[in-house]
Amino acid sequence: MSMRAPITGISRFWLEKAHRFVASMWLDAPNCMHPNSASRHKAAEKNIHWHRNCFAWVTKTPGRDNMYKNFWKAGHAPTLLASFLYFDLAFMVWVLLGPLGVQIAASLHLTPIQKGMMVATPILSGALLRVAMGLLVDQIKPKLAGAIGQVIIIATLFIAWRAGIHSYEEALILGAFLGVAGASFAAALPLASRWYPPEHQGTAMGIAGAGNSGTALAALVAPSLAMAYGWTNVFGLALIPLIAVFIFYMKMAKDAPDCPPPKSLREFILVLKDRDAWWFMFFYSVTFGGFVGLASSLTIYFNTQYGLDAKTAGFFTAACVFAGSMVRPMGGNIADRIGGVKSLTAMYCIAGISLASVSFAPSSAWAALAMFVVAMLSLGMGNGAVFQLVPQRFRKEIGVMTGLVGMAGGIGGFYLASSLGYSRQLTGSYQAGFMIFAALAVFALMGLTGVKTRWRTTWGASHLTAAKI
Amino acid sequence: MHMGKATLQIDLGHASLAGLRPANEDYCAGVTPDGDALENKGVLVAIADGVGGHAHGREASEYCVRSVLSDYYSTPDTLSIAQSLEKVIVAVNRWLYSHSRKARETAGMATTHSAVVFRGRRYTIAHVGDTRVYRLRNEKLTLLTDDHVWAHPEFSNVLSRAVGLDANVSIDFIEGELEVGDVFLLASDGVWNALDSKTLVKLLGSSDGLEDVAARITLLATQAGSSDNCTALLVRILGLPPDSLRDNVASVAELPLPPRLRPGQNMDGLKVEEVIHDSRITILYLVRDPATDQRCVLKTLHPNADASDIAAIAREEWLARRVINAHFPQVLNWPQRTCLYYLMTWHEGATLARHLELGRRYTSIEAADFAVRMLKALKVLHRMGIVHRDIKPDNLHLGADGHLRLLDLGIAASRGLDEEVSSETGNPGTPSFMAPELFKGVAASESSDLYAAGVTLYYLLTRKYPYGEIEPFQNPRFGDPVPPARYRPDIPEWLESVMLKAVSREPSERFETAEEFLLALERGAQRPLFVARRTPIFKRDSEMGLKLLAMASLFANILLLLLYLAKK
Repeated sequence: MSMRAPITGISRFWLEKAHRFVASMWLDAPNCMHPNSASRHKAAEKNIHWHRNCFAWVTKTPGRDNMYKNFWKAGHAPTLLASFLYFDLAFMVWVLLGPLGVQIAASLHLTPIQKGMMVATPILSGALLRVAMGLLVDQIKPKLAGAIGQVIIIATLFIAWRAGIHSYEEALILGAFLGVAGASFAAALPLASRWYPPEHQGTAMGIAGAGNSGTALAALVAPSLAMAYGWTNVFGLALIPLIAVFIFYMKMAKDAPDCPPPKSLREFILVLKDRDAWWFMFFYSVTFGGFVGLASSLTIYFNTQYGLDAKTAGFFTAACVFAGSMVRPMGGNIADRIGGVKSLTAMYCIAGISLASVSFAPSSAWAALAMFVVAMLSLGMGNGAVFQLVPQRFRKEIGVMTGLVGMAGGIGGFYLASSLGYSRQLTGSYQAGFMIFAALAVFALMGLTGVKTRWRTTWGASHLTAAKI
Repeated sequence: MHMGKATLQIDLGHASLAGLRPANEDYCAGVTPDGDALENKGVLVAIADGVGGHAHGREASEYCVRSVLSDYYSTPDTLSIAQSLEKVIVAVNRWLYSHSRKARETAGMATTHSAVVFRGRRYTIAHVGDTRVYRLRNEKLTLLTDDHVWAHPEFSNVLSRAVGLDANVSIDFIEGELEVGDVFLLASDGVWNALDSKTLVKLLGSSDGLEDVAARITLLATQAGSSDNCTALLVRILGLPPDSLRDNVASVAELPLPPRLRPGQNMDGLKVEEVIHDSRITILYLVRDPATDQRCVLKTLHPNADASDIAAIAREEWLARRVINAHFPQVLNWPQRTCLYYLMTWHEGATLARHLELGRRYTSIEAADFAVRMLKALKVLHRMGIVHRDIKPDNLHLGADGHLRLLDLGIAASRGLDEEVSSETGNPGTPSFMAPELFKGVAASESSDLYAAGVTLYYLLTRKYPYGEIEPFQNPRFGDPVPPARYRPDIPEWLESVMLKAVSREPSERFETAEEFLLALERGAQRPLFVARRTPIFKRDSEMGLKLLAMASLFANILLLLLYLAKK
C-alpha cells in the first residue's frame, strides 16, 4: 500500500522543480512567482514567518472606527440621557444665584463682599458635598443618591419660592443647599459611565458632562425671568423642568449591574502621596475654578463695572459661559492629539494674559466681553485637557481622583468668586482679584514644567490597566 | 523549590516495527525533564520517518530526532518554543541537505519530522512531512497536522516537504491548550495508512499502559497489511500545573518587599552606600559586600508596590539572568537573599543622557560609534528573542572602562516568557522613543526597538526628536521626520540617511534587523543608502491629496466667480 520510493538523483531533480512550482502557488506572496532562486529563498523565509505568526497573533483592542460604531449598542442610552438632563439642570440651579445676583443684591442691599460671598457659597458647598455624594454613591448606588440630591434641590427651591429670601444670611443658607446640585457630578457621571466598557467610558462621560451647558442656560434665562416675574418666582419656575426631569430620571435611569468596590479612606491618603495628584487638583482649581467662578460673578461684574442692566449682563455672561462649556470636549481632543501638557501650557498662557488684561477694565463692555470669551475658551478647553490626562495618569485611582480633582475645582471657583467681591470692596476695583487669579495661572504654568520633566520617563504596562469609576 | 507544586505530568509509551521492510527507517524518542528544564522548556517528543537508499533513511531520521532532542534544550529560555524548534530543525535540515549532496549514495537522504513540546498548559507541534500527530480528547480523535505530500494521486506518497530535501525547510507550527486526559499519538505513515480512525479511537481510548497500547497499535497496523515501518509514540496528559505565573518567576515574587533603605544600613549582609536612582516604582541602591569589598547595584521596589509591579520585577530578574553578555550588567547571585530585590554588577560611569545633560556634544563619528555598540547589544537581545522596548540615552551607560552597556530590562518582553500573555491595554515605553505603530496598539517588536535606536542616535546628535517630543497619554500624528542635518549641518549625508531610514514611520521601510542597521553604519559613506527626505503628500495620505485638490479647485472657482462679478 504505502511504498515510498527512495528519491534518487533524477527524481529528486524533478521533485525540486515541482516543489518550486507548487511552493509559489501556495505562498501567495507576489515575489515568489519569480523562478530565480534568490527570490524563492526569500519566499521560503516569508513562509516560515507566516507559519510562525499565524498562531502568535494576539487579540487586539478594537480600533477607533469600531469603537464609535458600537458605542450606542454598548451601554444603556436612556440612563445616559437621564443623567445628562439631570446634570444639565443641576448645573443650571447650582449657579442660579449668579445671574440673579444683581436683582437679589438690589433688594437685599448687599455690599460687594456680600455679593461675592453669596455667589461663591454654592460653589464651595458643592465642592465639599461632591466628596460626600461620592461616598454616598458607593453605599447606595448612583441612581438613589442622585434621586436624593434632586429631592433636596426641589424642596430647597420650593421653600425659597414660597417663603422668600429676606436677608443676606438666608441667601447664604440657600446657597449652601444649592451646593447639593453642584454635587450632582458625583452621582450623574458614574450612573452613566458604569454602563460602558472602559473604551467607551470617555465618550459616555463626555456626553453626560456636556451638562456643563446648564450654566449658560441659567445666565441666559434667569435675569429675564426675574425682571418679568420677580426673582423669588424664578425659583418656582425652575421647579417645572426640575420636576419633569426628576420623573424622567426615576422612570428611565437604571443602575449598572456591576459596580466597583467602595472607596476607602486609605485610597484617598495613598493617592494624595503622589505629587502629580496635588498638581492636577491645582490645575483643575484654576481651569474649572476660573470657569465656574466667572460664570457666577460675571453678571454682577458687568452690572457694577459697566452699568449694564441685569438682563443684558445675563446675556453677556451667557455668551462667555456658553463659549467655555462648549469647547470642553475640543480641549480634550486637542490634548489627545498634541499632548496634554503642551495644550495646557498654551491654555494657561492665554487665560493668564486675557484675565490680566481684563483687570485693567477696558473702557467698553464689548472689549471686556471679548477678553472674557477668550479667557473662558481657554479655561473651558483646559477643563477638557485636564480630564483627558487625569483618567489616564490615575488609571487605578480614578474613582477617588475624580472626586478630589472636582473638589479642588470647586474650591478654586469659590476662591475666585469671593475674591472678586473682596477686591471690589477693599480696593475699589476688580483688578486685584483678576490679577491674583492670573498669577495663579502663571503658577500653574510652572507646575506644568515640573510635570513635563517628571513625565519624560518610562511608562510601564501597569500604569495602563484601566479601572472603573 | 518545586516540591509540592503541581507540575505537568505525563505518561509516555512507544513501539516501532520494521514490518515487511528489511530495515526500520523510523525513529522516535522523547525527553521528560524535571525542575527548571520542565518549566522553561517542557517535555519534548519527536518522531521521524527517513527516506533514502541503503541505511541512509534511518541515518537521517535518527540524526534528526537525536539532534532536535538534545539541541532544543540548549536553546535560550527567552525564545519561544516555536522559535527554538525552528532554530534546531533548520540546523538539522542544513546538515542533512549538505550531507545528501556530498555523494551519490547519500543523495535523497531526507526525513519527515513531527515534534511536540508540552509546556505549562499548552502544546506546540513542529511538523514537516507525512508523519502525523493526532489528539484524542473526550473520545474525539483530531488530526492536528497536514501531510506534506503531492496532491496528485500517483504521487500521494511522495513528500513535498521534508527535512533535508531542500536548502530551506518550511515548518508548520500548531499550538493549543492541553486538558487533563488528552492522548497524543505521533504516528508514521505505516500506522495511519493501515488503521482507520475508528480503530484508533478504540485503541487510544483504552486505559491500559501506554507501552501496551503503542505495541498493540503497531502490531495491528502490520497485521492490517501495512508494508511500511510502523511507529507509534503516545503521550497521555495526567496532570497540569495551575494557570499562573511560571514557578521560577512566582517564587521570586513571593518574597517580601524590603523597607526603604538609608545609606549605611545593612540588607542581608550588604551595606547600602547610596541611592542611585529613585523612580515612581523602582529604587536602585549602590551596595557593598563587606566580605569582598565588591560594589554592586541592588534593584528593588518601593515598599508600597502592588502585585503587578512585583510580577514585573520578578520577570525582569528572570530575563536579566539569561542575558549573559558584556554589553549588559550581569545579575549576581546572593544566596542570603530574604527580600524581593536582585543584584547586578556595578560599573563606574554615567548614562549618555547624563553626559548630554552635562553639556557633552558628540560628533557624528562618536555618535555613530555609540550606535554601533548599542546595536551590537541589541543584536544579542534580539537573537535571544527579547525585545527591549525602552532603548533611549537614559538606558545607555558609558562605563569608565569605555564599555557601552544597555541597561534596564524592566519592560523588556520575551516570547519565551510572554507567549501565553494575550493582550495589554497599551504599550509600555518612553513615548518620544516609541514607534508610531505602538500607539495604535501593535505589539512591540524588533522593528520598534530599531526605531528607538534610531531616535536615540538622532537625539544624541541633535537633542531633538525626529517627530517632536511626544508626551505620555498623547495620541500623536506622525508626518515626515525632520532631517537631522537641519539641526546639525555637520552631520554627513550618509549618516542622515541611515537615521531617517531607522526612524521611518512605516515599519516596512525601516531596517529589518540590528545587523542590517549595523552594516549600514559600518559601510558609512562607502555605500550610502538612498532615503527620500520628503514623502509626497499623495503617498502619505492619498485622500488628503484629493481633498487638497478639491479645495484648490473650489478656491479657484470662487475666485473666478468674484472676478466675474467684479467685472460686471
